[in-house]
Amino acid sequence: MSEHAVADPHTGHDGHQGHNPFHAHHFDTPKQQFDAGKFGMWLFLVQEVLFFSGLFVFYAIVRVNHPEIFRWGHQALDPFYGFVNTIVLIFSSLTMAWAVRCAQKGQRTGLIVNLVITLVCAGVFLCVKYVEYSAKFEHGFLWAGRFNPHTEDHAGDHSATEGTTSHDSGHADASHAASAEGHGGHAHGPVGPPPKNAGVFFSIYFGMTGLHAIHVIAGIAAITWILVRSVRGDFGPDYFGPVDYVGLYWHLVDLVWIYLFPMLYLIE
Amino acid sequence: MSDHAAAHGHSDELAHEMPVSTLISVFLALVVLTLLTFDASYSISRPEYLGAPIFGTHISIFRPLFAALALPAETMRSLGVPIAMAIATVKAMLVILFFMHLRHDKALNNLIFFFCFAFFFLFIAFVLIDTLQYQGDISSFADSQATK
Repeated sequence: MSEHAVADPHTGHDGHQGHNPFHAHHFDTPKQQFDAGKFGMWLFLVQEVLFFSGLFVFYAIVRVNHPEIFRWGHQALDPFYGFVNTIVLIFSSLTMAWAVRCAQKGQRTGLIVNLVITLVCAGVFLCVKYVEYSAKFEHGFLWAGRFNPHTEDHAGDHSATEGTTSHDSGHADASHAASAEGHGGHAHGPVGPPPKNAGVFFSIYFGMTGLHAIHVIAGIAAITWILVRSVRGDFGPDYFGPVDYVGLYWHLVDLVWIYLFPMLYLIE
Repeated sequence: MSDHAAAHGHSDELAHEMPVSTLISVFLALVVLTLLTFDASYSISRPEYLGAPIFGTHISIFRPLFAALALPAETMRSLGVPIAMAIATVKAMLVILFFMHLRHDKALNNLIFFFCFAFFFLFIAFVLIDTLQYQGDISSFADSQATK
């Protein structure tokens, strides 16, 4: 970026570009600087998509060859938590896009408020993930190799709900019993014995959501950096590139989740 | 795509400004599509699902559709992935074109991103063709080992 511009960015002693202290010398115009940064950001995002694509291929191979692993494993995930996190991330994408607009229009207060809301949403997302992960760890729903389910431990918690639904699903697929529980509590356990290699589902689950969560944490760091610079008053109609670039990254994090949510929580 | 923003009055503008009304409309569309994903999934996998309970009635888009089509259970199950992925792709396009401003971005950036998507699908498609090709051999080998 253009951190080297000047010691005091607000006095504008930047030689020939008096009005725009962040205009780096090696770019002819602020427009050229902005477009170059944006081009670089798109290349980075393309790399991110291809980086994730390996895990999507992993999912596709296991899904096609062993659908029974998914039919059993997805019952351990509560779609309600997935839904909450989807809405939280979509909303944070809205506030991030709004923040970019505020930066473009030089609305400093709006920019700061939108960035803070985005950060809060990212925090809520990670808290929900923490609740989900701890339930998986508690019940031994871990990746292949560490997979050691002990569903009988929480059978008592759900005996009431399972008792009411077991009679109408006795003849049907075992998954219906778990489906009928609805959104009541957390970690409604899978019904029936785990199929062979059931831990692979949780390898995929932790691999994909874990890599995504790392991206959320990186996004929090990037947005915090933008927030500090916004409070300092760095951004305005002539210079808002970093806000735009971090926004693009944040939307990509949202994009990955848009696919992960139905793939892991909803599809049987 | 428009390399410049002359239509918006500022020829020296760095990038297109997305109106707040568009941003909020896109957000609402994303929420509706998320609910639609639930509707499709539950209509396929939960026989007891009647629709979202709203104002005393059940509202569902996919359940009456599937009931009208009256497909076999196995076909219904196989529809789950394509429908969910199609809805997710519509959501992704909304995010890319409006939140990420790609609709108003340079043609080069559009080219890069959509080529990346194309190669993503090629990657998955070729790997799937390959794994399906040999899955029969693998399972027959596994069966022969099991009977030994």
